Amino acid sequence: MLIEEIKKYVINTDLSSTQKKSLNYFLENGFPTTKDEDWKYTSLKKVLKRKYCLKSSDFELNDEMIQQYSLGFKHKLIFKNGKIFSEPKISGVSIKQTSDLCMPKNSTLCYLNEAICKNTYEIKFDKNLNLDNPIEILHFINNNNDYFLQLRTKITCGSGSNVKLVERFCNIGKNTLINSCMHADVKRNSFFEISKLQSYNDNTHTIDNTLIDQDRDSTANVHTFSFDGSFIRNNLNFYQNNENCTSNMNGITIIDKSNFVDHHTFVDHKFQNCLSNESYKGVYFDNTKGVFNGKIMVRPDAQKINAFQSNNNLLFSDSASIKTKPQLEIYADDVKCSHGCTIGQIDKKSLFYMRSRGFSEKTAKGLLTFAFLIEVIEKLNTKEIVDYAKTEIAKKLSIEKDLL
Amino acid sequence: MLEIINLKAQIEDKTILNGVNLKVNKGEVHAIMGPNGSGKSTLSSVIAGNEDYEVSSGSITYEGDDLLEMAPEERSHRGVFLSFQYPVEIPGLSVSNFIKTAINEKRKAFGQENISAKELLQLFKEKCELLNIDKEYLSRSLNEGFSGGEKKRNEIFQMAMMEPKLSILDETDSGLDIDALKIVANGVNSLKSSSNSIILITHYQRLLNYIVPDFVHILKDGKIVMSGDKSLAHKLEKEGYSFLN
Amino acid sequence: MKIEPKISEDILLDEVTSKEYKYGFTTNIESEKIEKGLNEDVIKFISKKKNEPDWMLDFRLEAFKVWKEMEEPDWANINYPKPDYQDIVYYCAPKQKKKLNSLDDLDPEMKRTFDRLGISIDEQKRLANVAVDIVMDSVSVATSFKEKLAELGIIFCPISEAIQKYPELVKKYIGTVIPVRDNFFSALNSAVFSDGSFCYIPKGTECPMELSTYFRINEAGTGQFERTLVIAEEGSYVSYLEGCTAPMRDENQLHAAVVELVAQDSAEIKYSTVQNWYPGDKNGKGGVFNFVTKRGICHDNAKISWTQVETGSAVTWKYPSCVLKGKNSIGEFFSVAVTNNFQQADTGTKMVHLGENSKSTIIAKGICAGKSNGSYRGLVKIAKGAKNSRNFSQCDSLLMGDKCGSHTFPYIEVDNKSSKVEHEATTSKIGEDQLFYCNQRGIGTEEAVALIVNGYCKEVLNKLPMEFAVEAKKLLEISLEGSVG
Repeated sequence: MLIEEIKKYVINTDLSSTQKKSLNYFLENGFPTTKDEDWKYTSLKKVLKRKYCLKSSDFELNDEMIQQYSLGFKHKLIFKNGKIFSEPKISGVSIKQTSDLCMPKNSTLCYLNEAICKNTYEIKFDKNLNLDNPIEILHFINNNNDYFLQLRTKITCGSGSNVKLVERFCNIGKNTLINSCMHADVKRNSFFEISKLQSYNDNTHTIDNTLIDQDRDSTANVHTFSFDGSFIRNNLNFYQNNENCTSNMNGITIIDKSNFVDHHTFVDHKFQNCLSNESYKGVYFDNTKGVFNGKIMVRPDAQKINAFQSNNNLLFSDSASIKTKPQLEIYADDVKCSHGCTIGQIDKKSLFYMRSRGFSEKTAKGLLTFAFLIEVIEKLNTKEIVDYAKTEIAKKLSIEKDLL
Repeated sequence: MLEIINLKAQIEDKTILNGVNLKVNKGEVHAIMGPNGSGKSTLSSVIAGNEDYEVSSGSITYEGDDLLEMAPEERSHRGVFLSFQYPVEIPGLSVSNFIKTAINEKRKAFGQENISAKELLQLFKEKCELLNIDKEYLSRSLNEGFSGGEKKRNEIFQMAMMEPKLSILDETDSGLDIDALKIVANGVNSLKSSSNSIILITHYQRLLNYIVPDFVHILKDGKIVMSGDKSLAHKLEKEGYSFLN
Repeated sequence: MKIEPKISEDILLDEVTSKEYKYGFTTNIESEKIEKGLNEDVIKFISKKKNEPDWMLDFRLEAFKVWKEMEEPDWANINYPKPDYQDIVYYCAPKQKKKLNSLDDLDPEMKRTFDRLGISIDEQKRLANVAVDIVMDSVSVATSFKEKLAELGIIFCPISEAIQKYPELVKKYIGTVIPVRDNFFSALNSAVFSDGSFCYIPKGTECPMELSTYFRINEAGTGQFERTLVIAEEGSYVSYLEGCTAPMRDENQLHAAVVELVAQDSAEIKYSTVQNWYPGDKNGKGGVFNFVTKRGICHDNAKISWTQVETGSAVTWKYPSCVLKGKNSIGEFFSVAVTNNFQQADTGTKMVHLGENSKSTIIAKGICAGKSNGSYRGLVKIAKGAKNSRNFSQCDSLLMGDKCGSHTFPYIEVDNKSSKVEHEATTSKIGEDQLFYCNQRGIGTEEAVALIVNGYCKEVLNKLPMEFAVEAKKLLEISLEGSVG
């Protein structure tokens, strides 16, 4: 059992008092189960069945491999099994390793991460830094054995800064369960954006925790693209800790085979005059299963909040399923909140119309599906990412990318 | 009927009306024109009693009483009617039910019995004809899904139903095509009498071709800077507001 | 000089909270009740009192066994002191000298109660088209129009009577839609229910009048556990109404009802509720705990439509549901839930689609005022075999004041590709501009709020039978009077 493995692992490890506390908390509560409301539709049972080891082994990483996975951004921050392999030199950006770093948590997995993660990094962006290009974060993973990898990053965006990150995991080895925790501290009047490109191989199971604290006048954007990977659970929490914050979430999910994707989002509106905007679109083939849980909380006195959420899904197979729970908790009256959710298919009339104009069924379906996704794609402002998204979408829909 | 003396009003610390003087007698039609942002709509809102605006000084006397002391609904009961520039939508509440309630509230204020169904239906029929309105529209939700023109026509319809003494038409002409404008103007003209008064607030002279004012005032920077008869409106149309400079 | 709002928020809040509960009187009728507490003997006593057959007693005892092993659920978004189930009286009946043969024999005091409830039976009789069964505390005390209905083969009587007279029917259906072990409260009800209504519509029969049950808790310290069973045979139709009131009491009273509906092939059941249990006072003291399990099963081409206007109770836990088992079956849920002061409501529906081409519609309108909390909780489940199914849900909340909370918990589970589900939810408040517009037309703020709220709820109110719609509108106004500043 993985828990035994963890217990064995920590015996030979020096833990700080914080880490010990977190470990105890984790051991008392264990991994989440479907009895937890937040994990009602997401069972870790199968994922945890494997015999993972917690120690990493080394492997060779060359430029060719990097080229293969990179979208070609100028700045690259590259990790090898969780350790920094190479880092960009940018004035105003500091990256350093720390050992003991307390971060906010949203499940027992975050406690576990805090207790046993060996490679914790702090990335700081200076005040008023205007990053001209996004930083591309590439995680290469390759282990001799099935591997339970902890990743832990704290990001600080100084006030007035403008930061864009692109994150991608590349598992070229055996079965890997990734437990990643990222905490972004987005200071006053700063802009933070991260795009998560989830094109894992079938051996990869991911639990991706992203918690974002926002100060006054800040904007935080998270774009999540879930295309491959046998098990993906994204926990995305936004805490608006002052007035005039904006939080945007966009997601495109297109999965096939027996893959599983779960998007859990939470926006905590604590102060007035804030905005959140959430749009998740999913397309499900084969035996896939999708879960969406979007929770919007408006605290007492957080007046003048606009919070919008939409979750639209297309099911392309009778063996595919979707469970969705868009949730509102409102404690202030002068707010505009709405959520919409649809589950359906491509409009048959439109399909017929296109076919009668000579489109093949495949092309017509592909284009209509792309049209369904376009609303999210139009919100993207980085050329390379739009390009990546289109390439992956075209692949999934089996149509020529040029058509999109 | 209405006398405004040195009226100053502000919204959130921003002064919009800066000493307005205006006297409207029974049976008169006044047009208030002015460039955007001159304070026209603020004036109508203050007369109707919108609490977003704070009156910092000056007075408004209506039929000898202090209008500013009255609650908005009291002003309405006393015969002040505002045709809104942007009428609000109330989903699920029918036009007929809304008007019936408005009429009965006024009657209640004067200790009168509710209007009888027969009387009300007769009144609806009459006024629908006057404004060329399909009766089916009475059962629609108030202003919900109405076009701009329909909303404005609905305002005048309510005016016809409520028979006010002082009507303020705030930009009733904007957004109307010429046919709708004629219908609205006809309606207003037929409601005009020697005992009621009308204030037309407009940006354009066009409406004044159909509803002829006795007086035209030009509002600029929160003050009436010029008054005259209808020829002033023509002058404005020709030369634009720039001649004021 | 600032133009002062005519009525300040405080005054308004005070006004609404001091609004008296109209139905808060008690009736002085001698009643027969047993000692507090629950054990097998109590259950045997109830069963014996009702002269029940053995199978019924066994059903109860089995339920009691199940219940003892269950835990009171705490997943709902409500907070309340868990009742001490040994501190409740489980049987209480108004004492009558002999069995009633007709309504005219009713105790005059009780008759007055009904008059004050606004359900003068005489008047109902005259107006016709509503047959009434009245359940006071635990016992059904009056059923009207029995004979007239009997001519059509329609059975409408207290369930205690049905157990005696139509045991096969009751035995066949009771506990089939809501199994004993379905949940904590349904198990409790199954063990101790003392009365309720039974309704049976024969094949191809359209019930010519509304059937109505009026529930009232009277005695202090008693729980009310009524049980309703409505069976609509193939091709039949019935519209059923249910109303509830209770006197004002300082302590909380418990109400745990179970309602089961069976709509056979092509049958239609329309079930409307106006729930106005005592909500507690403005400080949140007293009020009824309302834990209700309602569910209907639809066979091929059948339709069940739930309409509810919930204005009462201190705590409401209620999810009238439809199991759409048959092909082309239809489930509907129309709800208005109002909470004010310290009321808490967690209510919604479950639409479980099992049959092909099944359709469901959910329209839920929540209105929260004062320091109350209102939650919509719903499940739409489309099973793999429910091909071409369709659901549309709309959940709106209207907030009045900044001390209340509104919550939406919709669960949507879809397991086939040919179905279509749409869900929309919005939150809004009554706009200042809407109020000013009404004010300008001479309509005072109070009246304007009533108009706007009625407009907001119209889609649901329109689903109620006429007589009920009027009452519901009035209730809405009373519940919310003055809650906008």
